Amino acid sequence: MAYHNRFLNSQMLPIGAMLLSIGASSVLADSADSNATIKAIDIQDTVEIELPRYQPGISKTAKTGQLAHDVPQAITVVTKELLHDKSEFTLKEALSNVSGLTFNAAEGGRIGDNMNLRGFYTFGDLYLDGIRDVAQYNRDTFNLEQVDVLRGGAAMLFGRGQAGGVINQVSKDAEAENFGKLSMTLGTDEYKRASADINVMLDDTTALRLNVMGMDAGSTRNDVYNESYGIAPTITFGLGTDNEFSLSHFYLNTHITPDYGVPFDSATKRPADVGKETFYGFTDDFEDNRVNITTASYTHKFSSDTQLRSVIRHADYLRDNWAIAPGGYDSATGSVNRSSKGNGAKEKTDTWQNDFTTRFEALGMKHEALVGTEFLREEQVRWGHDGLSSYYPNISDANGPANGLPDTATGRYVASNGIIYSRTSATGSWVAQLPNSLESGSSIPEAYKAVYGNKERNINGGYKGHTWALYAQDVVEFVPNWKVMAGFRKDWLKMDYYTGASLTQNGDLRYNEMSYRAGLSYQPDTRQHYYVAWNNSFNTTGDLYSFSNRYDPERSVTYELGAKWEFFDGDLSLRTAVYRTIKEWERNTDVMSASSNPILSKERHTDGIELEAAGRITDNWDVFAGVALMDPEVDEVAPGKSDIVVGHKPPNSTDYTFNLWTTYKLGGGWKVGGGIEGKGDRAVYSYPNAGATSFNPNVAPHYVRYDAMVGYTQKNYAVQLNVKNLFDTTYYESAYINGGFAIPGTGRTAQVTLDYKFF
Amino acid sequence: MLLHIPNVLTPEQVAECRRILTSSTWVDGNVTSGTQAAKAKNNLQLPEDSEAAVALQKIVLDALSNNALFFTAALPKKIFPPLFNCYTGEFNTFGNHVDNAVRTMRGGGKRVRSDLSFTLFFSDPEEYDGGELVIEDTFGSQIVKLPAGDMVLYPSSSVHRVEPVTRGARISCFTWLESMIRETDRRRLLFDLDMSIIAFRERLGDDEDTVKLTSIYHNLLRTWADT
Repeated sequence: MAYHNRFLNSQMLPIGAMLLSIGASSVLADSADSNATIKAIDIQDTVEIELPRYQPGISKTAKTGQLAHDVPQAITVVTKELLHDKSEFTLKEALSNVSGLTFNAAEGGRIGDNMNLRGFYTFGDLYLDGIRDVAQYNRDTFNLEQVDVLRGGAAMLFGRGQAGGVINQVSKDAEAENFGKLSMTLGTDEYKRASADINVMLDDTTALRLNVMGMDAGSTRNDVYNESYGIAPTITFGLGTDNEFSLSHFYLNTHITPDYGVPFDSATKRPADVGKETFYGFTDDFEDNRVNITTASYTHKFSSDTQLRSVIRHADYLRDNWAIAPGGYDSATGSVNRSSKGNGAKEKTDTWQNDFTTRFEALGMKHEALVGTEFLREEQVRWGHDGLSSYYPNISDANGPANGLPDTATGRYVASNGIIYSRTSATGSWVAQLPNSLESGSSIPEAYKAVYGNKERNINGGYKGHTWALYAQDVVEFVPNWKVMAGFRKDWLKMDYYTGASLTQNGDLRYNEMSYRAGLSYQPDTRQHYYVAWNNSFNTTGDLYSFSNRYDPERSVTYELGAKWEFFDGDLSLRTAVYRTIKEWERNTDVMSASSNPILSKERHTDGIELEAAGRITDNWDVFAGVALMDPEVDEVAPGKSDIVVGHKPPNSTDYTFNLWTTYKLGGGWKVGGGIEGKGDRAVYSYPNAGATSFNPNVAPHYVRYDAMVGYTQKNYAVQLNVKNLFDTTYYESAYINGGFAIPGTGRTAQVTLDYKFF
Repeated sequence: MLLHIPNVLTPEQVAECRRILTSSTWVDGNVTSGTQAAKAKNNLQLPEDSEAAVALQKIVLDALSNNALFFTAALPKKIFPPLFNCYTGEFNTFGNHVDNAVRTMRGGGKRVRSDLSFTLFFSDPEEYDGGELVIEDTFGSQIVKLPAGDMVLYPSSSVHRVEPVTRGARISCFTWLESMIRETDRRRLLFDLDMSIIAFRERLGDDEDTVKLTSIYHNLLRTWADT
């Protein structure tokens, strides 16, 4: 031990020390300052430095940068490592890891990502870095660091929203480190995808990050494709300093086949018993989304406890959909009715958010305060595409069957131009129909191309909104280990509606709404957190709905009792919550039938309990799991509706969901993993009108799906094989809330991912 | 490599630290240990976010930033905020264990890979019986019991334990750090080279060869360092 002592007495400094003494203060400041960024290591070369990959610690959703553990509200965080291990690349796939969540299908043109959380709609609750991202598009995870799901009312933090919670996508930031990763995935059903994630330090405090992605993939559904590409550059100046400025752009272009799945069989009330690959659309169907989001943010640190963050964002969305939905399944002949679905919209939003956060002590109590303002301007123009009738008007008997005989089996008549007509009553007029007996995989018959190929946009309405909001929250440690949180937000909303091709104004609404959030936490030590929470939320007739009439906002409130624990040096996080959420004056989410059917239920509620685990049990054993038991119920129906549904489950809610994903490192770079995902029955229906005496809704049946993976990782590369739906189970991932069709989940697929890590 | 670094803290600093340490509330040490370590651990620890711990961390980190030997031996990149523990009475031992490979800092989600561990002593060897830090090195077991203010730096990958304290109290500071040089043998080579260069410069002055050796040091560091 003494061999170096002579050097110690030397007047000369070791080179290592000279070299570091210049930067010494920064090395140590970094270790002491919890705000600096350290990059998690993706690919390990030895087992000894594996990270808890499924548990990031910090939630970006609570605005104050708290550990998820410290937030007195249920939060699930889906990390990019979990998505990587499961070979999941879309937001929808990411959300399959969230307990208590079910998917909706094509809701009246709401064709993009569309979920129910704790039984309640969430389509107005999608956020990107804490800013509304509610346009309808199919989201990809190539530029996402994680997805946070904050359950319960969150209007105090985010403004108008619904009862189930908020889904916040967290973008990848430029970081103070050089790294680069190329990934490529090849799979069955023509699955091809490549992406790159590169971060370069331009100087000590400037970094550039670039994420790009391209994919061209089929699916286990016949004729369903996804061609997407995206690019997302971010540059940040002043990294780790008191003044950080960041500029980023997100571009995503998706060209997919809209999949309206399979119809329900009216006899069984279950999805038609056809192969899960059966696609009833045409090969010419398309859904195009184009997203451009530009964000500038500036963070000024007044001290290590006090900062102001200001964000300005312009987002521009375009979506266009031309698709065929099946319905009216005939189990005897296997034929379906096809109806065309064509719509689109252009949306623009401008957002300006300011968040001031500070920690201080007053009257001997510790405070963590947040004060913020938000301005949001929204603009939307919607359109439809021509329907069949505008090209092929109804015909009478005289110029219909008089020119040819209808098919006695189908009751249909094929006109000399090839267009098929049918009628609903013996004396009604003949109406043009899409063919109902084509094989899956057909392209549109020649005779229909005039209408089907028409991409004319017939503008039918618009919306403009302005929102100003002011909010404040304080967390006070009033006695050691006990904290109380209280926050409010006031929103001033101004909403204008426009109708028809000329966009004439037909509505002009104003709302002033308050929302609140409160919690009481007991944290006897850093490993345990017990809380009670109360929070509420409102949702006005807003961008999501096309009603110009004034209705009171939807209102919801959540009571929650929860516990969060950290085990194994914080490597494993466990949480549980028991809650009741009550929602009043729930709106119809279907913009197509909204005007005739604005209110769904007057009151409904969900009681539930959730249990989730994320992290690792040993250095080699990672786990991400959740189970949600729920009892959603309609308490009171809206005026004009039948109370026959009282006591029943609202559409697309379920009794339970569960998910488990676990991996184990075998040594030598090998890793195996497996998972299971299941959901209970989900009834889908429209609320019946007053007078209805029977209630027998369509049901998307419960299911269990199994997945598996094996991976081999070395210092600079990794190879991974994923097999999804190992037993090729037929299951229905999403269902159309008003009941017409259900969409089969993926069949068995295999995907191989190759990652290469450089500098 | 196991390195004894004497006089990291001055006697005045030791006295100040002991004053803060003895007037603080201690908790069961299992709050920071991993799964395997938790089974072996039986000591007391200062809550890591307590005011006392924050004040002590500053003293220790400041002292380390002025310590040339520590820097050249560790080539630190990130240092986990130091922790403080006490072995006394029924909380008197910590059986064989390996430190967790990666530490997540509370409050920041930041991670530190533990390449090196150190223990900085606040109690003098005469104040307590037992309490030796036993490190299973590649060269066999090393037994460490140092004067207050001294530190031992050793690879986190080694198996180590603290023998039961049978009299008095053993109070120390410990933590982990991530080095710019991840591999123990490379870090050792750089340290030896650095020490040899000093010896040459002392003997021969700054001549062409010592400059060349210095450039070799820098170039090795350039090749290996992860900054």
